[in-house]
Amino acid sequence: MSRPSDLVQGTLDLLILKILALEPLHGWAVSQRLRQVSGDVLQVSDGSLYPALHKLEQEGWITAEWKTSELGRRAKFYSLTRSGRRNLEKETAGWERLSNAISHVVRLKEA
Amino acid sequence: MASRWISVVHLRLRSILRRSQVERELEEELHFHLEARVMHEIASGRTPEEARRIALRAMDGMEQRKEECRDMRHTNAFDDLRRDVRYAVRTLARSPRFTVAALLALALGIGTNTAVFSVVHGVLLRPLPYAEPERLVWIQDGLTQSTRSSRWGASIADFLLWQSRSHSFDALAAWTGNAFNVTGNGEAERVTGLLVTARFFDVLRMRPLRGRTFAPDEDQPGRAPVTLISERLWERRFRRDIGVIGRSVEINGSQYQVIGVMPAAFRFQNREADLWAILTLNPPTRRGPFFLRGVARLRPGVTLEQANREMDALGAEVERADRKGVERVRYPVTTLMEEVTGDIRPLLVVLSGAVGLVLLIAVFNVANLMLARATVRQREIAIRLSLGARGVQLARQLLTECIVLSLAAGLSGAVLAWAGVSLLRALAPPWLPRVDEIAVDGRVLLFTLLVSMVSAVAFGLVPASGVARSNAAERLKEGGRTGDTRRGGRLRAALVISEVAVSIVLLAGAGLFIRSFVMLGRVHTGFQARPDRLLTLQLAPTGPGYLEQPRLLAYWEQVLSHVRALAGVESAAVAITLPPDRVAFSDAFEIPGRTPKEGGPVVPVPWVSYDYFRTLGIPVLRGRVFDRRDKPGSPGVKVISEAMARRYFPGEDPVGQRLKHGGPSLDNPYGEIIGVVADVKYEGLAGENVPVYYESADQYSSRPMWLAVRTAGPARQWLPAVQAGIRAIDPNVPIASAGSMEETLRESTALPQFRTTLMAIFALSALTLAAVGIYGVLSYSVERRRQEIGVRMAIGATPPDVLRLVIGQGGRLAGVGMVLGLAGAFALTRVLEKMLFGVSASDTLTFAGAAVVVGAVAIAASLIPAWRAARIDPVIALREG
Repeated sequence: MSRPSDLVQGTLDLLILKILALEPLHGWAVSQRLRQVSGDVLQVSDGSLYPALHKLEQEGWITAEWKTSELGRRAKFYSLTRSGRRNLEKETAGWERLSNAISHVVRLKEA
Repeated sequence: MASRWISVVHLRLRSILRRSQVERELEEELHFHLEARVMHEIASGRTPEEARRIALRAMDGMEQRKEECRDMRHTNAFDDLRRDVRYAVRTLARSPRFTVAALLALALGIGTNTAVFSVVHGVLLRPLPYAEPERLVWIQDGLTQSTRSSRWGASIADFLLWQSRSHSFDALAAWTGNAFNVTGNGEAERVTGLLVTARFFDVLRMRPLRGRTFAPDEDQPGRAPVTLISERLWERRFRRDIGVIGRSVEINGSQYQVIGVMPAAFRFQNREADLWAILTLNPPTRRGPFFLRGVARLRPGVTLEQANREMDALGAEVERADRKGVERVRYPVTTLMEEVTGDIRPLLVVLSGAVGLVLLIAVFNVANLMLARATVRQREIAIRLSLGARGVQLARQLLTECIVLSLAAGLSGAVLAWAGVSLLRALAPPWLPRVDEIAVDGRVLLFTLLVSMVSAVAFGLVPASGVARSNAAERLKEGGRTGDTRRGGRLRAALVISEVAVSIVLLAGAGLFIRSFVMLGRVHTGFQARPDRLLTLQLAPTGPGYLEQPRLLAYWEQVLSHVRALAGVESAAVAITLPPDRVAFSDAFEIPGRTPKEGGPVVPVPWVSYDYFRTLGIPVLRGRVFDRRDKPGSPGVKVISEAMARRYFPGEDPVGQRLKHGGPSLDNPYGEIIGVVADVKYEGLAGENVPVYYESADQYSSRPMWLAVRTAGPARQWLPAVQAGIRAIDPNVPIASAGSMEETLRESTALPQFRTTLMAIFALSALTLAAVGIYGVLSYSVERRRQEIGVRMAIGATPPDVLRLVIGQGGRLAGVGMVLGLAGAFALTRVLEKMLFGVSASDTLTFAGAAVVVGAVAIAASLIPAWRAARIDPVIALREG
C-alpha cells in the first residue's frame, strides 16, 4: 500500500476527483491530464494511479464503465458519482483551508 | 447516500463472487495503460523497445500494482480467510490431542444442550394446538382431602355449580376418559374416547372435518344421544362414507347418532381418541361420584388469579354448606398447558438447568484449552512476530482456528443432538406429554449454531487479544514464560474447581435417581403371585344383552369357568381395579360412628370376584374373603385393607363391623366387614398404601372388568387360548390391554427410568468435561513448569516424585471442587425431592459414591500429564530455557 511520496497523503485522491469532475476519463488519460494541468510538477507514477482509482471506486465516489476509447480499444472509463461530487466539494474546501493556513505560516517574516 | 452504499455493496460482492471477471478486467485495464504509454513514447520518437521499457518501469512492478488494486477492492480479505481456514485446519490436525479434547468438550455441550432444548421446546414451550391456547384452563378436583395428595375428579353437581355460578369463563365443559365398545356394522371394536359435555369443542374452538359439533343444550336430559367420531374411525369403519353422518351407531349397547367427524390431527390431553360422545347431565341425587374433569376458556381480560379467586369462593361455599370439618373443597384453576406438561415439567426444568451447566463447563473448558495452547505456542508466535507477521494477522488466525473448531463442534453437536433426540424419544414413556412433537427443529438448530459461534468468539478472544497486544521482542526475550498472570492461573483453577463441583452435583442427582429407581423396583406390590405368571386383560361386555345384572354376572361366570378349565391355569378372577395403578372406581363410604354420615372420605373401591385374593396372592390377615356363599341376593359383605383397618379400627377387630358406600342419600345397605387383607399398591408403586374396601363382584357386577389369570408358566403363552375362549362365548366383546402383570409393572416405572437415564447421561457428560478440564489445566501447567521440573530432576527428584507432584496438583483442585460440589448437591438435590422414592434427597451413600467417582476420574485425568512430566529430560528442559 505504498503512496506516492511526492504528494501529500490524500491529495492524489483529491486531484483525481477534480480531473474526473470535468469529464469521464480512463486511467491513462487521467495520468496525462494530471501532468498537463500541473505543468509536469506533479508526477504520479503510473503504478500508483490504479490502486487509487480502485479505492475511489470501492468507496463509491467514482464509478467505472467499459467504453471504446479514442485509441480504438476498450478502456475502463471513470466518472464522478453524485456523492463523489459532494465529497470533492468537501475535500476542496478542506484543502483550501489547509493551504491558506500553510501559506500564512510560510509567509511569516522572521522577527 | 443510499445509492452509494448500494453500489459499494454491489462492488464488494462482485469482487468476491465474480473473481475471475474482476481479475480479467484489472489485467485489461493495466494493459491498456501500458499500450497507451508505449504508443505515446513511440510518438515522441523512441524505439519500440525503449518505449516498452519505460512503460514497464513507470508501472513500477505490474504484479505488485495488481496486488495493491486487489487490496483496495478487499478481495484479499476473502483470500486471507481461505488461507487462514486452511492454515487453521492444518494447525488443529497437528495437535490432535488438543483438538479432540476441545471438540469432545464442545460437541458434548452443544449436543446435549440441543437435545434437551428440543425436548423442552417440544413439550413445554410450543403452544398447544388450539386457538388462543393461553386462555385454556383446567378446573381440578372437586375435593382435596388432607390425608391424600392424589387428585380427584369433580362430580356432576360440582360441574353444574361451576356452570351456573362462575363468570370467569367464555365456555366451560366437563369430560371423562372412557373406552367404548363400538358394535353393529362390523366386528366389535373397543376404542378410546371421551364423554364430554356440549360445549367441549367450543372451549377448544375446534371445528369438525365434516358435519357439526354439539349444540349448546345437547347435554341436557331428554335429548337424543349424539357423538362425533374421529377421522381414523371414519376411515377404518365407515370407509370415509359421508352418509354416516346422521346415522345411528351402537356404542356400549346404546344408539348414538353420529353428527360429525373430527380431523385426525385433533388431540386432547395428548391422546388420540376415536369417539366424543355426549355426556348427558342427568340431575344428580348427591355430590358424587367424582369422575369429571373441567376444561374452560377464560373470558378475555380475566386472569388466572381472578378465575382462581372466584372458584375458590365457590369451593368454600360448598365446604361450608355440607363438608364442614370433613374436607377442604377448592376448585383450583390451572392452565391447560401446565396440566398437559404437569408431571414432566419439574423434570425438564431440572434437566434444562443441568444441561445449561454442562454447556457452561464445555465453553469454559475450551477457553481453558485455548488459553493453555496459546501459552504453549508463544514461542512460535514470537518467532512469527519477529519475522514480520502483524499482531492483527496472528490474532485473526487464532480466531479463525476457534471458529473452525467451533463450527466443527457445532456440526458434530448437531449430529449428537439428533441422535440424542431419537434416543430420548425411544426412551420416553409413551404417555410422555407431546412426545411426538419432539424433534430437532430449525430454531433449535439455530440455537446450536449460535451457541457454538458465541462460544467460539468468547474463548477465541481471550488468547487472541493477548497476542494482538503483544510485542515480539518482549515475547522472544522472555521465551515462552510470559502471558500467564497470576490472575489467569487462578481463573483456570477456579474453572476446574467449578467443573468438578458441577459434575458432583449432577452425579449426585443421577445417583439419587438410580437409587430411587432401584428402590422402586424393590417395592412390594402387596400381591405375592409372580408378575410374569399373571395374565391380565380387560373385557367390556356392553351389548344390549348385558344390561341386566344376572346376564352380566352369568357372562363373567362363563368366562371364568372357561379360563379355569384351561390346562396350566391355577386360578382366575375378575376385578374392576388392578394393581399397581388401575383404579377405575372410587367412592365415599361411611362407618357408623367413625366417619361423618354425609360425604365421608373417598377411597378406591375394588369390586372383585371371589378368587381375586387367591389369584393375586393377597394374604388374608383376618376373617375370611369372598367365597361362593356371596351371591346376588345374599347380604352385601365387605373386605377391607390393612391400612383401612389400622386407620378406622385402631386396636380393634373390624370383622363384624358395618360399612356402607356412598352418602346417606344413596340407599345402599350397610354391609358386614368379613375380613382384612394385606395392603396392595393401587395408586402406583410410589404411591402410599391407601385404605380400600373390596366389594364382591359376584354380588353386583360392572363393566369393563379386568380378567386376571394365574398361570403355571410365562403368562403370555396362555393368551391365545384365553382369547379364543372369550371369542367363543361372545365375539362381540372386545379384548383390550392384554399382557402380563410384569409388563404393566415395567410400564409404570417408565418415567423414573426415563429420567434416570437422562440424568445419568448428563452426569457422564459433565464428568467427561471435568476430566477434559483437569487434563487441560495440568498439561498446560506441566508445559509451563518444564524447567522447574527439569531443575527438580537435576537435583535428584525421581520420576515417581514428579508423578506425585502433578497428580497432587490435580488432586488439590479436585478436592476443593468436591467440597464445593457436595455442598451444592446438598442444597440443590432438594429440587428433586418430589421425584425421589425411598431415598432421601441428601442420601449419604449416594453423595459419597459421587465423590469417589469424581475423585477417581480426576486422578485418571491427571495421569497423562503427570506421565509426560515424569519423562521430561532435565538436560533438554534446562537447555530450552
